Amino acid sequence: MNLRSLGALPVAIAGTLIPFALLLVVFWVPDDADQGFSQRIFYLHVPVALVSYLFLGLGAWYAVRYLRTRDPIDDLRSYVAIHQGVIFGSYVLLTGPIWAKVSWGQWWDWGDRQLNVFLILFLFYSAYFMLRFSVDAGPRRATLSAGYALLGIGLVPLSFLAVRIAETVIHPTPLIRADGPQIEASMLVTFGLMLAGAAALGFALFSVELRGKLIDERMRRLRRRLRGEAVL
Amino acid sequence: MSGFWRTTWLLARKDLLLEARSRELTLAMGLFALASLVLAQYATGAAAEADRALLASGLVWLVVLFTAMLGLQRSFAAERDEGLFDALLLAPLDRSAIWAGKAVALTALLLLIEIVLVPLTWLFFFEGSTAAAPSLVTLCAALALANLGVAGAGSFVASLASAARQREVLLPVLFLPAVTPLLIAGVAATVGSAQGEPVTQPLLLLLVYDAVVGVLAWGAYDHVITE
Repeated sequence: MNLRSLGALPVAIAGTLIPFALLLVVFWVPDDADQGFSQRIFYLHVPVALVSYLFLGLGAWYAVRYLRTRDPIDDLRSYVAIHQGVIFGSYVLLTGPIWAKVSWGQWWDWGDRQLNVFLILFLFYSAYFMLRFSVDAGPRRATLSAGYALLGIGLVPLSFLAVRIAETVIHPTPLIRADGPQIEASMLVTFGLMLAGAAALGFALFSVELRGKLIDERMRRLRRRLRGEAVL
Repeated sequence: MSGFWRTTWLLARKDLLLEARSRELTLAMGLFALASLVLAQYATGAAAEADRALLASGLVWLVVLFTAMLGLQRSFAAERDEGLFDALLLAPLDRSAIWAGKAVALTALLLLIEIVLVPLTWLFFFEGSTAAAPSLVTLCAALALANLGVAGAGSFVASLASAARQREVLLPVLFLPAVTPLLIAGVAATVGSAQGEPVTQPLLLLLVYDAVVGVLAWGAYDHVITE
C-alpha cells in the first residue's frame, strides 16, 4: 500500500467532518435544556478529550509492544502517540475551564472527577518528555520511556478511584444509559461526527509526525554516510 | 519465586546495613521532615484552630511524600557511582528483586521517619487543640499502606531516572504525578477519620494502589532495566 495515500485519507476525513460538524453545532443542534447555548462547547471538549485518552492509551500499547519486540519503530510510535495525546490534552485543559466558568461559575472545580483525573494524567505524561529528552537516543532511551509509559496504564484507574473518593459534587450525567440515550438524536449525531473528525485529525497528525521523524532519521543516516562514517 | 524473595531480602539488608553504618540518609530525611513540619506550622499559623487541624491532616502527607523523595534521590546513587549496577545485572538473579530490594529498604526508612513524624505532628497541631484530631490508628494504617506504594512506585521511577542526565531534577517530576492517587486517598482517610466518616474506601484504595504498582513494576522491571 502506498504510504502517501494512507496518510492523506485521515486528513481528508478530518477536513470534511470537522467543518461540517462545526456547522451542525452552530446551526442544527438545539440548545441544552439546562445550560443553554454554552453547552455547545461540549461538542468540542468531549470528543477531543476522548481522542486524547485514545492516544495516551495507544502510546502505552506501543510501549508494551516495544518491550516485547524491541523494534525501534514501536518506540517512535509510542512517543508520537503520547505526544499527540498531550497536545490534544492541552486543548482539553483549555476548553474545560471555559465550560466550567460558564456553567458552574468557576474556572476550575476540584470536585470534578473527569477534569482532575485528566490533570493528573496530563502531568504524568508531560513528565514523560522530560525523561525522554534526558537520555541519549538509542535502545536505552526507548526502554526507559516505555517503562514509564507502562506505569501510566495503572495510573488511569487509580486516579479515577482516588478522585471519586475525593469528589464532592456535581457533574453532568453520562450521555448513554441502559435505558437509551438521554439526549436528542441530533445531538448524538453531531457528537458522533465530531468525534470521528477529531479522531481522524489525531491520526492525520500522528502519521505526519511519525513520517517526519522517520525522514529525520533517514536524513541523519545519509549525512553520516556522506561523511564516510560507517552506518548500520 | 523463593529465589526472588531471598534476593530481595539480601539486597534490602545490604542497603539497610550501609545506612545503619553511615546514618547519612536517615538523619537528612529526619531533619528535613522536622524542618518541613516547622514550616508547615508557621505557614498555617493564621488559620483558625479547626482549619489548622484539617490542614495538618493534609500537610503531614505532603511532608511524607517530600521526605520520601529525598530518600529516593540517593536510592540508586551507590549502584551507579560504584558500578554495582553492572555487577547486579551480570549476576544470575531475578532482576525484579533489584527493584523490590530498594522498595523494601525505603519502606523501612520511611517507617523509621514516621515514628518520629507522627508524634511531632500531634504535638505541633493537635495537642491542646479543641478541633477534632484524626484517629491515630487510621493514620498509622494509612501511612503503613502508603509507604509500600510510595516505595514501590518511587523505586521504579528512581531506577528510570537514575539512567538519565540531570536525574536529581527529573525524579520529582516523574515521582509526584505517579503518587498523586496515594496522597488523595491518604488525606481522605485521615480527614475522614477526624470527621467520623467511614474510611474503608480510602484505605482499600491505598491497598489497591500498592497491588497495582507492585504487579506492574515487578512485571516490567526485568524488561525495563538497562545497563
